[in-house]
Amino acid sequence: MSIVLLATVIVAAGLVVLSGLWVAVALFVAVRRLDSRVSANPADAPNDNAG
Amino acid sequence: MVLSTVLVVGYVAVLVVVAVRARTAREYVDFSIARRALPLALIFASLCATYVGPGFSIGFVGRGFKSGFLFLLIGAAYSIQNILVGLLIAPKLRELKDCYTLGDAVGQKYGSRCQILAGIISVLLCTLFSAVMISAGGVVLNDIFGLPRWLSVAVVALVTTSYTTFGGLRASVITDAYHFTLFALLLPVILLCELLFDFEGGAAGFYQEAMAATAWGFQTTPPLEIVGFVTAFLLGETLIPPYANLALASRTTVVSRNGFILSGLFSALWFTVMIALGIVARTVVPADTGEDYVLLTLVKMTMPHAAYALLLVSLVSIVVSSLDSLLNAGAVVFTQDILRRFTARQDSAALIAGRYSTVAIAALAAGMAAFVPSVIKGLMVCYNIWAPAILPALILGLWTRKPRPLAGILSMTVGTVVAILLQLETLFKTDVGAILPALICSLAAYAVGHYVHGLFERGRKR
Repeated sequence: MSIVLLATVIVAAGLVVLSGLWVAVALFVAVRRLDSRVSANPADAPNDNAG
Repeated sequence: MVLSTVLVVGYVAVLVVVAVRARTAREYVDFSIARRALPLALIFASLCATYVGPGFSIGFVGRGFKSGFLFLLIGAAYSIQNILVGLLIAPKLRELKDCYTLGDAVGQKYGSRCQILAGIISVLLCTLFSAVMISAGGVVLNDIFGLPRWLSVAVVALVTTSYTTFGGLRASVITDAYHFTLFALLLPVILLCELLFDFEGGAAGFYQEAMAATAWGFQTTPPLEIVGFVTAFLLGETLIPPYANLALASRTTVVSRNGFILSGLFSALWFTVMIALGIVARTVVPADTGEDYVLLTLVKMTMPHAAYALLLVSLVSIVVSSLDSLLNAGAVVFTQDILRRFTARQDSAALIAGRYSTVAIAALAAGMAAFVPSVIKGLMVCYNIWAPAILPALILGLWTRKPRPLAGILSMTVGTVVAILLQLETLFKTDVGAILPALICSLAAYAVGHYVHGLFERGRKR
């Protein structure tokens, strides 16, 4: 029983880490897509006040 | 101190780069719903980053320390709520045409008066939630740098407002993904390191500590209080404006549904990790440590200084990622549900109004942050008002064929007034039971309004 509990906790931690990695990749892809849209249409470029 | 400063400066630098790459929103549809083009991973990350605030991180570790897995059972109500919203409500919201906010959905079902009322309640709640988040962020910055409280509050509000004002929902969602990555990688790694290097007793020791803490939790928490917590977790944050805006901004109805379902499943995993950190802390941290300081003390006592500094940065990101979504949602709701009923009907005017509204809500919330008694108490006040004020009218409106305006107005008004009155009496007692009576009153008012409106309609036909 104790092994099962600890294994459950470790698997949960692993899945949280995997979610983090999945989102990191998605974030990278999203930013790349925005960049390519800006290359195609410079009107989408950030202005000087951004951020 | 130098390392902490370097890490915080590094975190802010990356945040600025990410926010600038997200681009300035040039149209209102960009600012408010990111052109309804957000993919699943970003919807999922933004939902998770918004609900994982100080309560679901520091608060849950403290609860795990005191009462073991009891709060995992209570947290399950939150996970179920997200999954149910994903299955039943989010796709229905996304299907509605020309819908920018929850108020728009209410307006399409009950008419413009109800939309304005829903807008006022939503803006009030977003401002209150923002005040709680700014206050929590101020406490963390105060801990890192020893800055005066007012300056910490101002820094948190200014940094978040700057990119939310210009980038709108897209900037908020993209920076949320950055924040999510940061804390989803850091906190489980801390748990695994603690289990590998600091926790003595192996699996049997962990089981023993978990059972002892959970038994203590059940012994010391009255059943009525558990029912109150479960109700608050089940309903208190259901479809608050930032979540509703994400449901509306999803690329498709399927993305909207799956985003909520995945975020519900993630919440169960996240609560498990936080509670486990609290249980691990029982063998390291002194028993009299305050609940809000268990995580910080654990990491300070067992990890290298860099890890402690990283944790503090991660806590700032947890706060900021909740705050930016609340500010954007509050501004969009104010513009769409209130201002646009009277003025700023053109998209360009609405975009400017949305930006000014972001700044105004942030300023108001920063001013109110000084009066927030504690994070948990502040959140409970918000939960207790939101569920009775909006949920009956919204859910019944989405699921009934011909909802009647009087039912919506009465339900929202009675729910809000009763919830506020109960807060006034119980504000400093954290009586979590306030949500149930207010919800019952709201449902009763809905039924009365529905019946009376039906009588009027029949009278008119005769």
